[in-house]
Amino acid sequence: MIRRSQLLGLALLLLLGFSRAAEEKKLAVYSPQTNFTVPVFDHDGHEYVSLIDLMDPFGRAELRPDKKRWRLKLETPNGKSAEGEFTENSSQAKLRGKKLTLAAPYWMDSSRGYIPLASAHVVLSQLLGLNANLRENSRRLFIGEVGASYSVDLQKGNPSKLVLHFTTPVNPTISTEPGKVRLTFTREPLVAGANNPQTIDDSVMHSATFSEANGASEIVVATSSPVLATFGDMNKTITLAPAPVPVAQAPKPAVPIPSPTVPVQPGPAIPAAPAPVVQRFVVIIDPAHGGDDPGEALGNGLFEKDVTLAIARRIRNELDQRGLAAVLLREGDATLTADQRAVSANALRNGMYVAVHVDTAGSGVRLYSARLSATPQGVKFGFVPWNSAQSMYLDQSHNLIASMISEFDSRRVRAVPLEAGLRPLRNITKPAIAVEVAPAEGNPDSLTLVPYQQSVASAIAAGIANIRKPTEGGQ
Amino acid sequence: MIARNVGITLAILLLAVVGMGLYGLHLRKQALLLHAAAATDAKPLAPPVTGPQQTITVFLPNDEKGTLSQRQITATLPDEPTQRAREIVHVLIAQWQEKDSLHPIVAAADVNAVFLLNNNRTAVIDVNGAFADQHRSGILVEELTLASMAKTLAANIPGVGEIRIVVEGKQRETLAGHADLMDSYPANVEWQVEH
Repeated sequence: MIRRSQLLGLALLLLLGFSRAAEEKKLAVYSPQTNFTVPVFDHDGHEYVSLIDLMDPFGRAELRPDKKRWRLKLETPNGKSAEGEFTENSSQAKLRGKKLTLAAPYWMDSSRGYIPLASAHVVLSQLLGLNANLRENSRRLFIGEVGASYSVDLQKGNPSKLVLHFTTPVNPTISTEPGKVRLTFTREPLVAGANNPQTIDDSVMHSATFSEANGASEIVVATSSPVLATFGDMNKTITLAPAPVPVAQAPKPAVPIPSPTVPVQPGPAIPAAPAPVVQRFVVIIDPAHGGDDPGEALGNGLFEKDVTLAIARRIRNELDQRGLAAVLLREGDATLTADQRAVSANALRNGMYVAVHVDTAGSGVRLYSARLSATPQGVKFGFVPWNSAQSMYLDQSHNLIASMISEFDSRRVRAVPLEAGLRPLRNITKPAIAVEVAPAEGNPDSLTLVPYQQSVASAIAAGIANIRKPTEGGQ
Repeated sequence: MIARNVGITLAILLLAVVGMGLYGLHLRKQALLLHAAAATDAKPLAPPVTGPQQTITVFLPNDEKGTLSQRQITATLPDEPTQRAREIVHVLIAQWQEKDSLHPIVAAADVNAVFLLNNNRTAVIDVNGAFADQHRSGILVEELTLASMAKTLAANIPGVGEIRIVVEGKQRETLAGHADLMDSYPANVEWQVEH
């Protein structure tokens, strides 16, 4: 007979296995212009990244077939252009007229070109004319003089505080586990401090350890009781201090929650009470379409799904610069249903949702809020129907649109507010809008031009920042 | 030295070859013209409609401006309400298919039938495959299609308050990737209308 505890253990092991298998491989790219991540794919025993995904954030990248070769053309926002030449199943490439041997053969799949991860820094370096440094084991690529460092300062007192000083504003995801606080940096080019791991002379916080893996870095602070994190100095400092413990209440019995990656470190002072999970404000950016759903054909082999992703990345960068955290619902060419998008967006409780669409009809930008059915049924029972989930947040969505329109006006981009019966907009349980970007007036080709995309992204980010001050994202 | 009779024969043959070539080119041109005419005439044949000539109000979309234009046109409409509704949608789609249309749609697009439910409040419009499969993709253009149909039917069939679209008799999630077809579209939706 199998005991119940054995069954539970088996289920836990299976869950851990699945969670690890589901972890997507990512390459983080840090450059003076932009920071972004691209998905990494395994093929023929090597790790690959999409050439267009890698080049697109640096300007207008086009990949065109020319007999057996594939020609890459990159036009940067400052007017410079660079060309490359790749041959399917061959390691030989040519960049700016110079021959180059890739670490593995160039791979084509569904008209998308992939280069080996191990050569990504060489390709970027040649095309952009900047030094590039790849940390292959942790999948982090640094271009030019980027890199943020940090220092740890213990402020003695009752209670003592641990202050982490960063050289640039940061937006880490903060999670707590019994015996540790984990700060995960997915967007910042953070590198290890002078002493790593650093021992801290305190009774609650014992050490700070930097590590990096899969396109992210993290600082883990070992603690013996729950701590709270607060942001300060425009997100340049994070202060950790012991969480106040209610005196009247006896500590609840421990609920051990094992970590899937790090073994549980039991806290000696308070028995592993789970600390509060920090709910930060996050903007969810949804690049519409993707994968099997290309959206509108924009000509020259370009589809709506490609341009929505490019604009979404620019919005994320603009939000980053304003100290606001943002995530993209898809980083690569993934197929997502409307329900999957809604569920992912609703999983983050505190935030806003912005879907990005592109259209060649008309000009300027159209900002849509959800058009809902007349009266949501079932609200009296405390439930809102799936198709009317947005009803509670419509006013906030309208405020967001109004804020963005004033930003578009200041940039002389025509913007109009509209309603649409669009999914998943009506299923989102937070302020939610869809932005449909049409060409600039008098310039039908502007959809793929970097300055126009940048101007649109800047207005959207500023519109969000206006109604959501960076300091609000601190707790 | 070529004999005179051989030279004359060769010259006649050469002229015949050139003449045949020119005639062949002419035939090819005519065939292409016939083919092009057949391609542009791909609109499905509709059964003849009988009934009095009436003036109806249509709302024609303008994709560039994102507006609807209200127009009066004359059409032959049957008395039976569902056939009348079908003919109104047919006439509306024909307007979109005009040469200078500001909301173009393929010539093969058409309506199969319109069903009036809930005391005419809900008009279920069954369009053919070409209508949805070859419709332009985009939030604005798809919304304009639905708004144009809903407002046109509401203006000419008393009581129509909303429309639902099905494609070849089946439900479809979106029209062309954006507008949700799983929900009804209200006829009183606010849209900028040019008179």
